[in-house]
Amino acid sequence: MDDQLLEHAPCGYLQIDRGGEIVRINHTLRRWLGHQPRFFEDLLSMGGKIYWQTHLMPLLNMKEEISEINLTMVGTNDVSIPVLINAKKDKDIYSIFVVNITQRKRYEQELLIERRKAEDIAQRLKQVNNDLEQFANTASHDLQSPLRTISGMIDLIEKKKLIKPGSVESNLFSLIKRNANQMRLMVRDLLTYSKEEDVAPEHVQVLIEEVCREAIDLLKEDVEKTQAVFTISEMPILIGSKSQLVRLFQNLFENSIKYRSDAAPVIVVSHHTANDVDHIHVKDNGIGFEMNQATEIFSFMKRLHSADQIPGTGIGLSSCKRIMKHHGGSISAESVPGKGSVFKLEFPRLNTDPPVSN
Amino acid sequence: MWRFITPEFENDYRIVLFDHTGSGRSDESAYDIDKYSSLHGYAQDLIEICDELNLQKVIFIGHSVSCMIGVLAANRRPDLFDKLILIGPSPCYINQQGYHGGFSRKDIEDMIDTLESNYLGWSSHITPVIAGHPDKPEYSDELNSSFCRMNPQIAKHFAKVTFMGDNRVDLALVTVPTQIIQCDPDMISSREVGLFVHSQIKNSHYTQIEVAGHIPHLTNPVATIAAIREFL
Repeated sequence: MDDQLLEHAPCGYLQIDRGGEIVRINHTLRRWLGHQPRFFEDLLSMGGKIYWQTHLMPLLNMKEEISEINLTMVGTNDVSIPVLINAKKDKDIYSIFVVNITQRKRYEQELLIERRKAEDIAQRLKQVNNDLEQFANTASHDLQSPLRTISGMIDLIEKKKLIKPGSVESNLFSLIKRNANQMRLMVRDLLTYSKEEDVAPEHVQVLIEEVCREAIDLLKEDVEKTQAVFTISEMPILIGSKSQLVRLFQNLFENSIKYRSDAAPVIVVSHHTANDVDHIHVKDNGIGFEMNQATEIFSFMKRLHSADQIPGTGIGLSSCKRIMKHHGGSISAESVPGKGSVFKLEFPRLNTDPPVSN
Repeated sequence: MWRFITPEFENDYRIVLFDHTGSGRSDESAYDIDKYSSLHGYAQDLIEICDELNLQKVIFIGHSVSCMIGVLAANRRPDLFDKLILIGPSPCYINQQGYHGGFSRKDIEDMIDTLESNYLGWSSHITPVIAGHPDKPEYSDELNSSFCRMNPQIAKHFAKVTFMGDNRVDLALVTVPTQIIQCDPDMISSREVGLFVHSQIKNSHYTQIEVAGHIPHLTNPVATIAAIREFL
C-alpha cells in the first residue's frame, strides 16, 4: 500500500510489533493525539490499556483479526477521543485502523441514558400496575365482609318486620337497602375484574355452545324470572380460555336481560365465518341505546343509566372488551333505541400459535 | 490459548486443557454467580477435574488470574500437585497500603466500562465481531472455546472478581514447588508484583523473560517454552 496515501488518510493508522511497540504511526493519528509514545498502549486510557492487554491482545493473537472495538485514546493536553479500531495481525506486525467516533459516542451515550430511563419507567409502571391490581383485589375483598353483615342486618330487619310499612322509616329503609344492593354488585364485579389477570391464561379448544349453556345456567334465576328465551345456532370451537369465555357470554346475556324492554327477552346467538375470522353475534330485543354511545359503553365503570333506574356497575362490558383482547379479537355493538342491540364478537382464526396478549 | 506451547510437551506429558466455567465451551448453565464470586469456586472446579480424571503428580501451568486459582487449589490439596508454574501471576491488582498492585480502583472500574462498551454497549446484542478464518479452519474450534465467547454478564462479573480480589495471604501457604515466569515489561502484572509473589512463596523459582506484554505464551512461545523447561 502507498505510504503517502495512509500518511494523511482521514483515519488513524498505525503498526505495532508483538511487544506493543509502535513501528509506524500516520500523520493523522499523531495530529489527533499530539504525541507519539513508544508503546501503543500508552495511547489508551487506563481501562483501555488493561482491556487491550487482557482481552484484545489474546484475541488478536488467536484469531489474527478484531474489529469494531470501542476504546478511548488519550493524547497530550487532556485530549481524549473515543475511537473504534479494527486490527489485523500479519506475522509479527499488527496493523491498526482507528476511526474517531466522538459524535457517535455522544449519541450512543444519550441513547443509553434514555434507554435506562425508559427501563426505569417501565419497571415503575409495572410495579404501579401490580400494586393497583393488588389494591383492587384487597379492597373489594375487604369491602365484601362488612357489606355482607349489613345485608344480613337488612334481611333481619325485614324478616322481623321491625319497620312499619308506609312510614318515613320504611322509605329510608328501602333507600338503604337499594344502595346496599348496588354496592354489593359493585364490589362483586370489581373483584371479578381484578381477578382477570392481564396476561392471557392457557388457551385450549373450547366449545362455544357449551360456553353459552354454562353462561345461561349461571343466570338461571334471572332467566326464569324474566322468561328469557335463547336461540343458539351452531357454534364453532375456538381456541381460548373457557372460564373467560363463559364470563364473556354471561356478561352479555346478563345485559340483554337487564336492559330488556317490556317484552320478555329474546336473545339470539349466531355465528358465521369470513376471512378467517369467526363472527359471533348476540342479538336482543331490549331497550337498546343511541349509536353515538356505542364505544362509551365499553369503558370501565361507564354507565348509560343511573343505578336508580337499572342497577349495574359499568364493569361487565369493559370486562368483555378485555377478554376479547386476551383472545386477540374485538367486540363492538350496534343498536337502535327501542329495537334491541347486537353485540358483535370477532375472533381471528389462529394458525397454531395461541394469541399474544398485551 | 495454549496452541503454541502444548506441541512441545505432548510427547512427554499428558496434557489436560480446560475452560473455566462461564467461558469457552463450558456449560454456561453451571455458572453460579455466588460460587464464582471468588476464585475459590474456580479452585474447587480444578480439584474436581483432577479427582475426576484421577490425576496424580500434576504440574499446573496457569496464566494471569488462573495462577491464583492454581495456588488456592494447591493449598487445599497439596497432595494433588507436583509443581506450579505461574505465568504473570498477581495476587492483587489494586494498590493497597504498602503494596503496589499497579492499579487504582478507578482504573479497574474504567476497564470494566471499556469492557461493557464493547460487550454490552447500548445494544444487548453487540459483541465484538468475530470474523471467520476460512483459510485456517483449525482456529475456529479454538475460537469457539476461547473466552471471547463469554456471555457478557459473566465476562463482567469475572472481570470484577479477577481484578478486585486480594489473595496475597494465600501465597505464604504454598508448599508445592513453584515457578514464577515474569514478563518484562508487563503492565498487568509488573515485575514488582512478580517479585512480591516470589518473596511470599517459600523456595519459589523466579524466571524473568524479556518479553513485553502479558501473554508470552501467545506472543513469544519460544521464550515461554524455554522458561518452562528450565523448571521441569
